[in-house]
Amino acid sequence: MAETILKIDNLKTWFDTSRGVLRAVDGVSFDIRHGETLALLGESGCGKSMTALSIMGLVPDPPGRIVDGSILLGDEDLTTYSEIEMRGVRGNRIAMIFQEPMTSLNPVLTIGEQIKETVRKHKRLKGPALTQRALELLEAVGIPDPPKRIKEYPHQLSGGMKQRVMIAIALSAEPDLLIADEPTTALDVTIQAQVLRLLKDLQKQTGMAILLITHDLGVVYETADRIAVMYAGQIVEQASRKVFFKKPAHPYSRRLFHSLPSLDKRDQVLDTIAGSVPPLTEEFRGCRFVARCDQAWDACAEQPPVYRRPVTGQSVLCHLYNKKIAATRPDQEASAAPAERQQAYQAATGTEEAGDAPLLEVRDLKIHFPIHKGLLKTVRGYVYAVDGVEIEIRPGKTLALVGESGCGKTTVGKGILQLLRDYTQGDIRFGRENLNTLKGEALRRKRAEFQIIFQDPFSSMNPRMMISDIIEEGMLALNTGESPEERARRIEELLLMVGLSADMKHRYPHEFSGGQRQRICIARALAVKPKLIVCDEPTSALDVSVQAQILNLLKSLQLRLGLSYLFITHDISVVSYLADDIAVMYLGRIVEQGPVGDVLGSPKHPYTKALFAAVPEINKELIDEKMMLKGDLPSPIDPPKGCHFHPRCIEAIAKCRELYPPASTGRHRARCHLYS
Amino acid sequence: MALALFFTVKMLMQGQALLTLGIVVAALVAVVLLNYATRKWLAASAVTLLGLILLLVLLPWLFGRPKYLYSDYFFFVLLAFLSTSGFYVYSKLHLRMTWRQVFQRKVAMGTVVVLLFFLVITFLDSIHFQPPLNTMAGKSAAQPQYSTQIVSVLDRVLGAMRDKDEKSYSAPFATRLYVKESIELPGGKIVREYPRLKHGGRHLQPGQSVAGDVASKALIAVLFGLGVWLLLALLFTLGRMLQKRCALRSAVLELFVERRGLPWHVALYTLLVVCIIAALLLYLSNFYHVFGTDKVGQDTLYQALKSVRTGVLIGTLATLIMLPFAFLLGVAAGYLKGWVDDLIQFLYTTLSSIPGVLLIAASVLAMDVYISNHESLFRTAAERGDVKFLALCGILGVTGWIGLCRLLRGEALKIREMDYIEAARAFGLGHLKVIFNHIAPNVMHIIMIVVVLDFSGLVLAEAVLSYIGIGIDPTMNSWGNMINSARLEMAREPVVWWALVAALLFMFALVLAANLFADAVRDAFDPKLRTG
Repeated sequence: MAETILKIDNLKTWFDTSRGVLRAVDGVSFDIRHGETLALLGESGCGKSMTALSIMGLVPDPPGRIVDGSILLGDEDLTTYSEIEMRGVRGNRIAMIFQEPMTSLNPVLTIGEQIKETVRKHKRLKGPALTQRALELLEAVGIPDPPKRIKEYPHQLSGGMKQRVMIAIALSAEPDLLIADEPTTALDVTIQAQVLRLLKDLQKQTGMAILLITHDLGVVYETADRIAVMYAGQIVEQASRKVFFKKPAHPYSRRLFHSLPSLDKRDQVLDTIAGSVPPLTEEFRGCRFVARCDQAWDACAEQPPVYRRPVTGQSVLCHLYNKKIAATRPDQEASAAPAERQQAYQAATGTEEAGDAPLLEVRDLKIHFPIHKGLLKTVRGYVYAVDGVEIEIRPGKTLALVGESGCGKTTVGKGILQLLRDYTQGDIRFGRENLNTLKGEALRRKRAEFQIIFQDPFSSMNPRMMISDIIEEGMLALNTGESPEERARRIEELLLMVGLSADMKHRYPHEFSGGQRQRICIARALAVKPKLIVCDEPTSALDVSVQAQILNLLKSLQLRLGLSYLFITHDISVVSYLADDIAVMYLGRIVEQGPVGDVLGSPKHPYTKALFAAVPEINKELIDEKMMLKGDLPSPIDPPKGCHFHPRCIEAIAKCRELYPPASTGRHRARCHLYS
Repeated sequence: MALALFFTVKMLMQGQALLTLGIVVAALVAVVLLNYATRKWLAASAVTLLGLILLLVLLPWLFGRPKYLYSDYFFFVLLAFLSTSGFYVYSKLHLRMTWRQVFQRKVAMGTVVVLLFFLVITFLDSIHFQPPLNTMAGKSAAQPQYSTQIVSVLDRVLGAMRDKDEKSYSAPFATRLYVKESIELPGGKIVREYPRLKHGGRHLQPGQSVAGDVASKALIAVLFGLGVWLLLALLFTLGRMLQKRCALRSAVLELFVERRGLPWHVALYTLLVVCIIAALLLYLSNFYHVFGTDKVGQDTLYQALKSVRTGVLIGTLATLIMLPFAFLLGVAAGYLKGWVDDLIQFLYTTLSSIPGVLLIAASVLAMDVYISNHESLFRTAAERGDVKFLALCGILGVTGWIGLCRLLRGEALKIREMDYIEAARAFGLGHLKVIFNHIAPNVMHIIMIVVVLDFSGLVLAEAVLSYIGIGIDPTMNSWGNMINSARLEMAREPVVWWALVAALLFMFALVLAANLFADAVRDAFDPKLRTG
């Protein structure tokens, strides 16, 4: 067994807040060995990042402080180190990369200077040797043409490139341990696959240990050797990858698996975890998960559980595995819920009609943003954000629009909602009318029929308005013709409909959690009785268990109200669970579309194949090196000639460089020369 | 009610039909609002406004004929605005919570009492009237004659200081003049010595020491101040008991000792200090010139107190004039972008490249010319001074909106990209509605912070402008004018220092209180400073 690099024992990091002591990290123990990847998995607010900051000695003090425990690096205890001593450790023996590559780099220094800065500090190199080392590092993290890139500024690089630069900086001192705090959450799946692969390769070369902090089970499956699941400041389960994915032991881990959406759960209500993480200012008596656990009994609320080992290589913080206490558990069969669930959507899926007239029919939609330059602000070219998109949505069905960020999928949504009228061309037929030619009052009245739900639940509501005002706004603006009393009743009705209680209407947005806010946004959209809702990545800012709740809600609302959704996302598992049809977008155009089963089952377009291959998924073979997409999305200002995808395509033929491929026919169609 | 009826009848008799009509209309509006307004804060502020109007119409009749100046109206509008927004804030939970954070700071509680004290002085000094002429008293009550002089209620309160003019300079608490004069003795002999003051220390027996007399009178004043404070504190406690429906003991504990909740005790103890100082000044000024007299023998304390109104008004009126410009232009530029933005940016970059002092000097001179060409419009010195003062406020406001405008433009640029603006537009909301429903509430904290920070800057600006001679009309009392005249007094021998000291002391108290309060407001409103 390889030597242990970091050993954390009973670490407690507490914060003094106005509401009492917040136990962000409360008795965490784990160790990481040489060349190993340990994944720290958990929902937001459970103390993952605080654990990492404690290791780095970066806990803001005050209000935070490490009250107990030890952090052994080799055989020195980092908790006893002074700030000056810690500086020798940070970046040198332990390095860290962060979630947001955009803000982790200094925008006014070239990336070369930023890499050299760390190298100079830790390696004491000078002059040409220093530059040489910086170039080597850039080479090592797979940045093409390092001599040119070293002189560039962060804004000239894409997100994936920036994250590579961050990794290069972290590696500059050849650390023993790399802490990666959600390193790929802000990146696209294709880029995520590249970065994860890079980390894995670097680990093989240098033998460093990686502490990977993430909330994504797929990422964990692809990269981790061992997994520690955190909940409410504690590690509730620790196991090797094989054991964990075969048989998760803690009820919380199991529920996490159940709440993942996927194709084979399409006809079921997703399993959710009721409630939310308890506030960490609370004094806990028993198990911290007791309020949300479906297997809890009296003992769970009364006495705190201790770690048990049901299988070798696994340790669980749960009474179920303590034989003495588990014996007190009243006999009860696992609830019959799954069976009921199975039936929930059966009726709905049975009514497949092919001959429905589409609710929304978009033909040749073009949204070109002009680029103004020079003194007189003349138009010097266009951003071809959306360039000839054709989609249709049937009543009561869901069309998923997938693609990398920057491919124009959000712009399509806004174009359909008539929020970019100045730049929009083409036919947007909604029912019988063409939205693009509607004007004034007629358009305003029509607006009630299509609404939007946003990605970020925190910026989508005016923080200075009460919930009732927020929901009422649309009814007032569109003059849906109710009296004040009717409106008040409708607000309560809507709140109940989205799973909140009516007495919440007098509160302000900041009093709600992310999932609750998203529910309110749904209520706001529903207030004007729309037929179509554009969902712009509504679940990507949410935790897995909350995501499941929102997906369930969207699905049941669709059944009850006959809504159509245009679901904009990059998350393929959500698509496979929710969508009826799927359209894959690349650089302003749809490259492939068709019924969800066909497209997912047998993707045609090379881009679609690569995109699906990049998605980290549980129980999937690790990605084939050949299938991995190289490079980044080209700029929509100057798209490549011929097929937009040919520079990154592994199956490109000569024709691809010349001519944009025509669409094939049929329900499942792709724009690729291979099929025409 | 009976009182109101009585006054209404009286006024009708005196031919003030317009005023009467105003009252009746205001009353009707208030009644309608109270009954039909769905929003409580609107109704509450309507009632308060009505009370204010009634007070303003009726109060001066106790002393003479009301004669309000233009700046008075502005001040009352400002008061109305303050009280209305106070009720509004109280009705909105999130606003109330932020203001609660402001007042949780002890400094804020203390300074607010001081600021309120200055506000009360300004209020009293803004109720102007023409006193009746006594010479005609015996003739006919039906046709009273009024003086052309305009005085305020504050002048009535400070009667002792106002009327007791000396001949020239006298030091604080002096009994004799500060300059030698030739005095003819009973024997016909002429000596040059410091003559006895006409009013200051008049009551003293020959040989009685000033210090001893002042000490004993100060003791009486302190006791009196304490008494007034006790009365106020009692009223306050009773109010609290009624509001919270609690026992006397718990109310007293909460207000005077309790650490939790708002620090009421700080407010009360500051009030105690203010009461004692006010009582000391008021009582002693009956017998002495507490801050001496100036060159023409006017009481310096009286001048300093009259200057309070000028200082407070210039700080608030200039802001009031500046706000609409800054808000509308700034938000319009940031939200609408495009050519509107270009135009507004052009406007403020042009304006900010002209030196402010130049603009101010030009406009004040222009006003001077206008007044001398239209003498008939402004009959009294007070009116002339008032118009010049308003012009100064106006030009300070017009030149002062640029900074806030820039801030608001930046903030609007940021907010317009938020999803909730997009959502509002998806509902088909117009631009104006988006600006007022969504952007305005989200930039209010910036406006709040800038307004309170600017206040003290404007008070100081007035002093500087008056000092270089382009500020307030010299006939109007202001700290700037006092400092300006002190320039010569400081150069003479022996030095006359009290005018300068008095002006500085009062200005210091106001500006310091305003600055400390501004700090507390910023701490509570600025999201960047907010922790946890």
